[in-house]
This record gives sequence, structure tokens and C-alpha cells, in this order.
Amino acid sequence: MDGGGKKQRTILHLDMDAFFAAVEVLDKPSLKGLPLVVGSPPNKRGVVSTCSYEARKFGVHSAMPSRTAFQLCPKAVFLPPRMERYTEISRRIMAILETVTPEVEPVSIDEAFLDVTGVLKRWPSAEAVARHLKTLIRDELGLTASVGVAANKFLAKLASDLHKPDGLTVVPSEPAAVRDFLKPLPVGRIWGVGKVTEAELHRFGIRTIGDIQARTEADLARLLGSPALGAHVWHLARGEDDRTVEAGRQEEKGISNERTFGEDCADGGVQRQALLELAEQVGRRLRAAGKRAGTVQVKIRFGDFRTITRQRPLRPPADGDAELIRLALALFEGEKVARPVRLLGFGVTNLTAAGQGDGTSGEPVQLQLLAESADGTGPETGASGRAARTRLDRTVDDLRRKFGAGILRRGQWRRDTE
Amino acid sequence: MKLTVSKELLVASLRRVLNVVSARTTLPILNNILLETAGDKLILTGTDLEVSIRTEIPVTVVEPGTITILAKKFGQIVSALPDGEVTLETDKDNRVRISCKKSNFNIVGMDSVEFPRENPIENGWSFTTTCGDFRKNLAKVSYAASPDESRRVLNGILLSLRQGMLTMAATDGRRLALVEKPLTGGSTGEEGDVILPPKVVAELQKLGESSDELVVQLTDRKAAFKAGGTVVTSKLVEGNYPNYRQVIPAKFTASAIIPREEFQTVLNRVSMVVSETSSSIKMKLEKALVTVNAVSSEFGESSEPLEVSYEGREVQIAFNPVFLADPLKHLEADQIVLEFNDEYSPMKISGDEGFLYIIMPMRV
Repeated sequence: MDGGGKKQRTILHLDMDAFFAAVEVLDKPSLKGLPLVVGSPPNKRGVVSTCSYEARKFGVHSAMPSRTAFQLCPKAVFLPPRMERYTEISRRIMAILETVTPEVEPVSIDEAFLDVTGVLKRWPSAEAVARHLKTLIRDELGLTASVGVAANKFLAKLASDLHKPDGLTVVPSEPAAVRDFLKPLPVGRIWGVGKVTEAELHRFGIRTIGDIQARTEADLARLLGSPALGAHVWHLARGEDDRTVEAGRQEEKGISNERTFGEDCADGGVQRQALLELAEQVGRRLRAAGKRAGTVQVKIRFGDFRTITRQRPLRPPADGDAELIRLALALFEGEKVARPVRLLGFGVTNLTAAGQGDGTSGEPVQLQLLAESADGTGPETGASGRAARTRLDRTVDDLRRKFGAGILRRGQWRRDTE
Repeated sequence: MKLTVSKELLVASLRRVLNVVSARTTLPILNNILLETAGDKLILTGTDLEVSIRTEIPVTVVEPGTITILAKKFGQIVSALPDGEVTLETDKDNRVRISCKKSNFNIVGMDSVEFPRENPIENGWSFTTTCGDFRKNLAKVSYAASPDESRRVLNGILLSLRQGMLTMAATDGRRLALVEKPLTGGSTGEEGDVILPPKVVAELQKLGESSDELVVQLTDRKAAFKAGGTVVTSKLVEGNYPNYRQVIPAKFTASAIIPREEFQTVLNRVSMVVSETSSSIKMKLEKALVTVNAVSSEFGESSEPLEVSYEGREVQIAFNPVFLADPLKHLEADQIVLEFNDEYSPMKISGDEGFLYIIMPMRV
């Protein structure tokens, strides 16, 4: 179990900050800054599911009876949980995580492990991956997450919890440094050490993880009266954990994103701009995943919740913003939307690995008879124009990864008919 | 409104207008067709706001009037009726009684006020041809239009009227198909270009009997096609069609004459090993012989020679097999002529009178 001789892995643990409460604030911005308790109402029996950081200042925490929470913080706003909404956001979070690696193991609705060992060569560091994910989640969902980066699951989870909210903690990978990192932490931090075991350890004067490190494995097994538990706790106390990340979801079938307008939107220009930005975000994730889209889909939900989706194949499959935006707008305008729109969505499916059929890998290339811009709708010209657009997309992706999505904003997309 | 009509006639006319009625629309009235009486005729109209089809049939009008009714449901009910005279009658609540022999239906209709109607075309230019000719020429070019819905101009078919010549053209940017014929049926008014959307092109393939006279009326915004008792009206694609004449090379240095049907058969056979990722075939021309071959890593390879009339140097050109075979299916000439300069320049295919196809090779 000591991991000696095994390949060094890099694991991320991502944990959303006060997830349910954060989603409530997202959907109702007027709640921002208020102490929020999501869970049972205070006049009923039941407990707190999640509470905002403002409520935590009053000593409120999850699993506490709502009645107690009310006594600690009478000003708190109590909200019933909306699991359906949290699940929807959760799916989108997991989809974002899977743009980086398919090795994603969702642990619960708001946390997941990622094994990024295989994709690290594409990144400057594991920390950069973590920062990228935090940025995507912030830009696309308006939520914050805390991430722990370490050599195994135990340390990554421990790390993600150390600097909440919006934290990013990297645990050093050398065994000695790991032990030093763990040394001052209380034994209760160890996975599997609950109240009973904790009390047991305290009885022998073992309070910190460092105290465990000072014992031998046999010693600890004897104190705890169980060789299995002793071994488990002893190895974890040294930062040793060889559980693997079990990717629970099948390969990603599609990438999509949605935007609900604060108020139903009747302005065609605003609708087009929103769709354009959705297409860009999806394009960015598509390229980050090294995929091309064979089908694009536009979803329109009207004020009365009637929802329509329209999809079209993309031949050949593409991953460029220009192609995605062009088709998104064509589909949208094909609907001649005349009523206020509540929500717009854009997605891609039928994903194939990039680098197929684009002539860069030796396949035949169809030569163009007309410049692609000849009809006034195609962007720029021919193969060199396409290469230039590809370079542009990558550059924009890089800039946004470094500086956030707000660094660049696409101007009004030219209408086909203008 | 109250009238009687033969079931057979009603079914036939519904078949014509139902195509254009979309089941998925954001405007509920567009799920309906409009029924209105005019003299001793019943006029049926369906529209999706882009293409509208209006057809009239003789009926016995007892009481004039107008109503709209759910198109698909009405179509299903009428087809299921026993053969005989059908009576349609509306009441003040916009319900439509459909009866035939012992069958009775009382179906919810909708007032016709909100139904979008097409104004007749005025002040345009027009020409006359036959449904058969028009359809045939349309079929010779329409496959070359772009399927990419985001390139609206190239989705459409260009109709161009110049000095008594009608040109139809379609291109997806990689090939161009064109038919140019003098108008024999006469034309009036100005000259100009219009771009027909793909939807109306599909509808026109079904319009009228081959020998029926077809009157085409055009304005800057709309086109109307009249044959028999049916009028298909369409919005036009806005925008400028690319200057397709400039992609037609002025001269070629080599040419080959190939029997059309044999060439088509060989292409189809050889293309069987083509896969989605390596979709090209090679055509090697040498003295009096063309050899078509295809290779794909997925399935293997194939080749077949065909005797042709060719005297030039040996050359090998690669094409998308679909692009090469497409025009052959729609031509009638026994022999086609290939003209080209080299393996990376456009090649011309001709055969039927007035027909021209320009195809760009693939680079391998």
C-alpha cells in the first residue's frame, strides 16, 4: 500500500463551495451577502443541508438541526432544497471537468476526483489545470470551487478543504514534505477516522497526524485493537493512499451550455449575442477536449416554458468558433422567434477526435472552386483562411485560460443577409 | 361555409399542400390549412411563411365561406373517408363538420383572419415553360447546392434570365452545375437573377404533369410558379450569388470522351471501398483508357479500366466520388466529355445540351 515503485500520479479533488446556497444566490442575486440556510424550515424538525459562508460565521453548519441554526442566526433566510436544479448544475460541472480528462469520478453532487496524470504533458502544471477548471466553472456557471492537487485521493481531498472558499491548495509530492504537511493536522482529518476512533486515539494522547507518524504500524494496530484499521490509519497518516480514480461516467457524448435570461428577452440582438457567447464557450470546451462536433443543437425556451430544440449536422465535423457560431445563428434565425425567450442553449454532439479528415494527417483534401467568402456568408477564404481561424481560436483559448473569459469579447456577428 | 366535393379530388389537392405545412412551428396557425370558397371552387392553402402552396378544385358551393383546420388531422380524416361525395360545413363556433356517406366528424377549426395570405405577384418579370422541362433542368443542377444551412445563398438555386436565356446554377463551392437554355415559351419584363430556397426546389419537383404549362413570375422578393390549378409561392434567398462564371476556365489542354452509363457503373463499383475518412477515388487517363481506383485503410482497394477516347499525356486526378458521379445520374447523353488542364485545376464535364459541370479535384 505504500505506493513505492508505482507510477507517480496526480489527482485533483474539486469541491464546490457551499454548493446549494451558491446556486440559490446564482438564481436569485438579491440573496447575495445574506446568511442562507438550505434545508428544513426552522419551525420543523430537520437539518441544514448547506449554508452560506455568511451563515457559517454564526456557527451554523451542515447537518445541524434547522431549529439550532435559527437560534444561532435568527436573521438567516431558510430555503427548501431544489435538488432538480442542483442536479442540473452538477451535470454541467461534471461536463466541464470532463473537458480536461475523461478520468473523472464524481463523489457526490458537488465534488469529484480527477486523475490528470495522463493529460499533464499538455499543461504547464497540475496547478494550471486546477486554475483552468476553477475559471471555467466561474465563467460558465458563476460558481466557485475549491481544488486540492496531490499525489493521491486522500491528500487531494484534504487539500481542497484547507482553503475554502475559492481555494487552490497544492500538496508537495515528496514523501517527507507530505509527512510535514500532514503533521500538524488533527487526527479527525484522516479518512475513516470518525468520532469513535478519534476518541480512542485521544485516549492514548494521539491528537495530531504527526503523533501517529511517530508510532509504528504494529503499535497503532495494537492501540486500535484492529490490524486492518491500524494499517489503514497508519498509511494515510504518512500520506499513502493508492485508491484509483474510478471514472463512473461513460465517454462524453456531447458538450452543451445554456443561459437563462434574468427577465424573458425579446431583443433579437441580445438573443443573438447570448447564443454567440454560448457557442464560443462550447467551442472552447470542445477544443480543450481535442474533439470535433458532427452535430450542433440550439435550444430555445419561451416565456411559457415551451421548449424547442433544432439540430443540424456539421459536415465536415468542426471545432472552430466561426463554424459553430454560423450554424447556431442559422438554426436560431430559421425559427423566426417572435416571442420573448426565457432560455437559450447551445450544444454539440457526435464528437470525433480532432485531426481527422482535415488534411493535416495525410488524407486527401477537397480543393475549393470558389473562395469560401464568395457568397458573402463564408468566413475568409479557403484553406489558408481556415488555418488562420484555427490559430485565432487557439490563441483566444490560451488568452482566456490565462486571463479569464472576459479578456476578449466577440463583436456583433455579421448577419448573412447584410 | 358549406360545400360538397369528391373525396378523390380533395385527397389529391390536400397531398399537394400538406408538404409545406410544418408540424413544428412557433406559430400555431401555420399548423392549419386555409379553406376558402371562390365561385364554384374551393381554394386550399398551406404555408410555412417561406413557401406557400395554393391549389383549387371544383366543388359545389352551397354557402360561401372560409375556415382554417389542422392540416395533418384533416388530411388523415379525409384519406380515411369512404369513396364518394364529401360535405364540409362550418358552424359559428368554427367547428367543421366533415361527412361522407355514414361517416361524420365534427372537428375544431380556427378563424381564418390570422392566416398569413400571399398577395399575388405584380410588376415582376415572367416566363413560360413546361413543368417537365423545368423539373428536368432543376434536377440537373440542384444536387450541387450546398447542404450547409449556414451558407444560405449556396443552399439555393440561381435562376438567371438574360436576353431570352434562362440559366439555372447551383454550387457548394467545390463544384458547379449549370444549365443554360433559350426560353421558347416567351418571357416578359426585365431581366434579373433570383435565388430559390431549397425548400421550394423540392416542392417544384412535384408540381404539375410533365406536359403542363408552367408560368414563372419573379420579383426581387418573391417567386411564383403556376401550373394547372396550383400556385407555389416562395420567398427568395437574400444576398448575391457568387460570380460563378469566373470559375469556368476559358480553355482546356486535354479532353476525353467517355460512355456515360459505363463510367457511372464503374464509378459506383470502385467507390464501394471508399470510407468516410478516405473518400477519394483516382482516375488515371492514358491513351484510350481510363482506370478508376480507390484505396482505403479501412476496407482495402479496388480498380477497373474503361476504354475511352483519349489521346493526351498520362495523368492521374483524384476526386470525391460522389461529386464525380452526381451529374452522370441526371444526364441523358450517351457520351460525356471531360476537359481539364492538370490534376489540381478544375475539370469540366459536359454532355446534354446547355449543361456544364465544373468540379475541383482533391489533393492527395
